[in-house]
Amino acid sequence: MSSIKTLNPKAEVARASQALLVNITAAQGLQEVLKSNLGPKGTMKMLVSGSGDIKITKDGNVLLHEMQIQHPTASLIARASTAQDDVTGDGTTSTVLLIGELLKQANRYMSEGLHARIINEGFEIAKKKALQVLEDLKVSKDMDRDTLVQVARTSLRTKVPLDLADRLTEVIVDSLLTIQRPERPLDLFMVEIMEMKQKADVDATLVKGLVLDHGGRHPDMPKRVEDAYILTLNVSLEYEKSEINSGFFYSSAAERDKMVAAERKFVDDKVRKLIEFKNSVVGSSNKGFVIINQKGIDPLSLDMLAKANILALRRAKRRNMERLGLACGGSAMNTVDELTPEVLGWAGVVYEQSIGEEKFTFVENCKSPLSVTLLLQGPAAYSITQLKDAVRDGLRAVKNAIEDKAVIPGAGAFEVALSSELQRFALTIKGRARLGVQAFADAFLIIPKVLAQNAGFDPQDTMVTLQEEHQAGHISGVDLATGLALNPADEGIWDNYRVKRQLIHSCSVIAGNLVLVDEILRAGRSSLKG
Amino acid sequence: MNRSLAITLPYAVCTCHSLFVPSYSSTARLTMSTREVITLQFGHYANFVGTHFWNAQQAQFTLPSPNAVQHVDHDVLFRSGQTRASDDEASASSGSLLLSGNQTGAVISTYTPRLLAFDLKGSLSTMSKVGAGLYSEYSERPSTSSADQQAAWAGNIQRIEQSTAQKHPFMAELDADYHAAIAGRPRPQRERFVLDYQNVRFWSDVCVMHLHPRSVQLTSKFVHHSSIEPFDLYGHGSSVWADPDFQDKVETDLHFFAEECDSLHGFHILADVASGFGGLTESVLSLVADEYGSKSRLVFGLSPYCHNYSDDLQQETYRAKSAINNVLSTAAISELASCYVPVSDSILNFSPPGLNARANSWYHSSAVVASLIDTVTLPYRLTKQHTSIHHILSVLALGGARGGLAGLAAATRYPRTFSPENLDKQLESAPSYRSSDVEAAFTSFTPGVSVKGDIRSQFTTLRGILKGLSGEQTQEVFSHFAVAGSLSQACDTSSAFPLEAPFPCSVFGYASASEIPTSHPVIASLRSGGRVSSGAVNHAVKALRDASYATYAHEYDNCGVSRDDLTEARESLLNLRDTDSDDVDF
Ligand SMILES: Nc1ncnc2c1ncn2[C@@H]1O[C@H](COP(=O)(O)OP(=O)(O)OP(=O)(O)O)[C@@H](O)[C@H]1O
Ligand SMILES: [Mg+2]
Repeated sequence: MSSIKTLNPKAEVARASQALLVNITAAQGLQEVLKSNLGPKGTMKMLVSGSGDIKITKDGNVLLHEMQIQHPTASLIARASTAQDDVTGDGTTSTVLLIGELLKQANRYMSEGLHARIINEGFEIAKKKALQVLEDLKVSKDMDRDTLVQVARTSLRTKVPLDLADRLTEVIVDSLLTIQRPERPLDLFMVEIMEMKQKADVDATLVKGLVLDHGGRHPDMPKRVEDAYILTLNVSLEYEKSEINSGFFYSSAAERDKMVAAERKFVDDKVRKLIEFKNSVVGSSNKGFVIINQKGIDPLSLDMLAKANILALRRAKRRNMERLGLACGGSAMNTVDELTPEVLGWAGVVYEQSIGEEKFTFVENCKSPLSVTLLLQGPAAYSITQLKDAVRDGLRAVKNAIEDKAVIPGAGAFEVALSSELQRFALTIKGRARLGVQAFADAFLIIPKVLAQNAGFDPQDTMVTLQEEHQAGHISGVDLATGLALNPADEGIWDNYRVKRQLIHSCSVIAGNLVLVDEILRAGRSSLKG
Repeated sequence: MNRSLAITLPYAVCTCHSLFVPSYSSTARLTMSTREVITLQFGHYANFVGTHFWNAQQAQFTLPSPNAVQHVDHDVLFRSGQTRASDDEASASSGSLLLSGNQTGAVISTYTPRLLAFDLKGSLSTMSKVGAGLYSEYSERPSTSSADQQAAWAGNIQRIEQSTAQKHPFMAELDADYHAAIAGRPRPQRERFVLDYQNVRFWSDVCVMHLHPRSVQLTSKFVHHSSIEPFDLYGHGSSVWADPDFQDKVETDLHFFAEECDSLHGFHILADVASGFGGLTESVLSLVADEYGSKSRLVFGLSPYCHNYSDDLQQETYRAKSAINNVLSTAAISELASCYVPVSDSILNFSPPGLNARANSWYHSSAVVASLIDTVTLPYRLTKQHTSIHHILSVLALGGARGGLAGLAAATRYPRTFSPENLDKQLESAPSYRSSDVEAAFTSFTPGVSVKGDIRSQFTTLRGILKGLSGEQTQEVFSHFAVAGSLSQACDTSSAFPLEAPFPCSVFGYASASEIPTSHPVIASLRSGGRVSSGAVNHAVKALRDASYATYAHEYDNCGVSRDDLTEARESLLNLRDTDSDDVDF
């Protein structure tokens, strides 16, 4: 990790104890910053830049990136949080809180003379046990729509206000269920997120098809086409021969004009073929005909197409070409020769909508589409961004749940249970490594404590209640309305299994490394993906 | 009117090889009525150059034309759009803002560059990432409905504000004028604003042009002028591109500008090639080449001279990494470009003829470079009898610019203008590329390439140099600027380079404000041929030899650039040189 070395050339020479102190201070500093974010009652942060640009977030990882960390220890922790995000899409705030807490607990023993290596050994033992406990606590169940809605809701309610979260929840689950096919992996890429800025409320809608951010470029083209054949093309309908423009390939003005005319005819012929094809498939029926071309279409070609009542879009983005096939069927053509009806896709309706200088084309009501669009609307860029971040988290959570085929009780219930399992387990460990396990067990309580604290309750009171409930054999998490215990299953508060697994893994690795100061320099990002 | 026609005569061939000079017939003009060009700027220096370039366009909107004919067709570089007036814009007009109504919500016509400008987080100083607020719908001021949305949040809301930077006094004055205009007060009469180069630190300090909200592309991974993690390795650029969100935004915004073009002709690309932006340029250019393969891509690869380091080690690091990045950039980008022109301002250290710019001020040195780029790209941006970008690049390509390498040379203070009487006499004493003392008037801005000696082809633009010559006389002047045995073409226009604040007029040697005219004549050429490419390649490779790559190998490795990659880049450059030196006959 030479890049860290260059970040802080002095790290190597700092005396171990000093360096440990540096690490602990940094880890706790970050913990302090992110603590207030945790959970559905956490603090929303609004960052305003010097020039007035706004960013609103509650997400640990987003905040860490906005903070521009200049401290090597802190940036190591930030990386753990980024890795957490890359692998699972969630749990980044918890990661930072847990690392800070693990160091704090470890320091309690170390200041009494316990060696760092022993602590680390304890962490290792505890981690293995924690992963077992995780397996025991996970709830394997059929991922029906109701469960998925609960998973999405748990995630979204930690990011956006309640009523918005609940609206998004349905849209997210339905988008994934629409594109899900038995025995096929879910591809989140097939849910396109489209942003639309307009002076209205923040909202999200599911479009069973595609939304393109451009429209027909001819005033006479139809603005709305129903029961539409969709022809996707990758054929230039532009007059653009550069030889003619360059002026080297002809010797008189007349010759040039002849070349221009020939080139024009070449383009026109292609357009004519398209029109003939349209006439042959549509005939006298009421069907519509839409061309979506990846290449350009020049004004004269647009004019011919408009006269034939064809809606034609030019310069469709590459990624949308693929999606069009998945949403509407049909296949993209590289030539206008030998077109057959089999290459056509279909959409129930295609229509255009303009907002200011921007145009959008909806290709909707597709039959069993393999790709859909989530349309996000809002009045300002930052509110749409916030929405988008939340929607992505929600999509990830649902996908994780489907793939894990299991979920974990949330609201701190898992952490309470884990902590007390580890306490019990610690007693079975011989030697001083037990203290490391102890520290690990205590550290995990930070999650329910902070959840309670952020909801305005006394963390100690809540902990006492929760632990009693646990002793009595109930799964119990924090009820943010009362500060008392609740059963997450009853309330449908579910976290992702893989989020917790990654959390256990990366926190113990990073905290271990930070304790063993010498190891800082070797802790690589690669070791974080578990 | 007659005179003006003569003045705006197109280009001509004036060499031993005679080629037909097309003059477009009416049908031909019909088919090429619009010739849009999209501009891409990569890096802080490129954005400085771009800022001066756009400021010059803005100045030309209003520059009194000697012939009352508008010479520059701004539609090539600019797009017309619309937005809605926000509350505080009752009526205003500031060059790019034209109101067609004066109530809130009225539709405002906008005229903004077709531009993507890439830079790092923190590089905008007081400018918003969505521009200077021309588009009210993009304004980041929290609107009521989104405030409601926030209010619905169950937990606390914490507002964290970064301290606001001070606006540069020049921009503050511009704002004041703008607000006066909105309030219906007359614009105060002011002295020409002379900016002290020392307090222009960001390109946004001097950006007069309103940018479209989609123009600025900020990378969030790297911070402007960070000493902890500087953006100084080629591989950093590709790591920025690896972020799918960043890619998505760039693709969408580029699409926005490209899709609306009826006859997109090409791309102007200004790129900082000595930093991480070289890598980013390569990535974005691959996308452009993929999606818009048939369009011309004219790249100016900029390596700014650097000074700022007090410390020798830092200076050395900068020099070495620049050399390494430059080789990687040149090899990769020249492959993706139709034409690649390496440009460096380090020549300014040697007080070239007619120039008095501080090489250590980006504000100064970028101004010179901008005036040249504006000049050489002018021929295909004129309203009358224009040529095309394809044509100019074909001229250069015929010169054997196999790897697309071309050079940039200029006379920024040419000792004379030409008038009809006694033209022969005037020509006799006027410096040309052929004169033995060519260096007394001309300067090469392509490192490693001299203005002396043979080249194979050349396209020269003369602006504000010819005064009322007949067509024949114009041809005579053109031949004067040709190089014997080469394919030389030229174009002339009466619209000289505009001198308007915040352009630092002192770079052209004007000592006092009172002596500054409204515009300045410039002669600039793009040139190609074996000597040009081998000169440029040798220069880059030699700098690489002096850089101790081993010292930085691990850093490059860490961001995905291996020693083999560098060797390969070097080899491919050397190959360029070898193929080019072969005689290409036409
Ligand atoms: N309704 C709820 N009541 C109580 N706790 C909840 C509820 N919903 C979620 N939680 C808990 O909130 C925690 C998640 O909070 P949050 O999403 O803010 O942070 P995170 O997932 O650690 O980080 P990130 O910022 O990456 O999302 C989990 O422990 C989860 O169980
Ligand atoms: Mg979360």
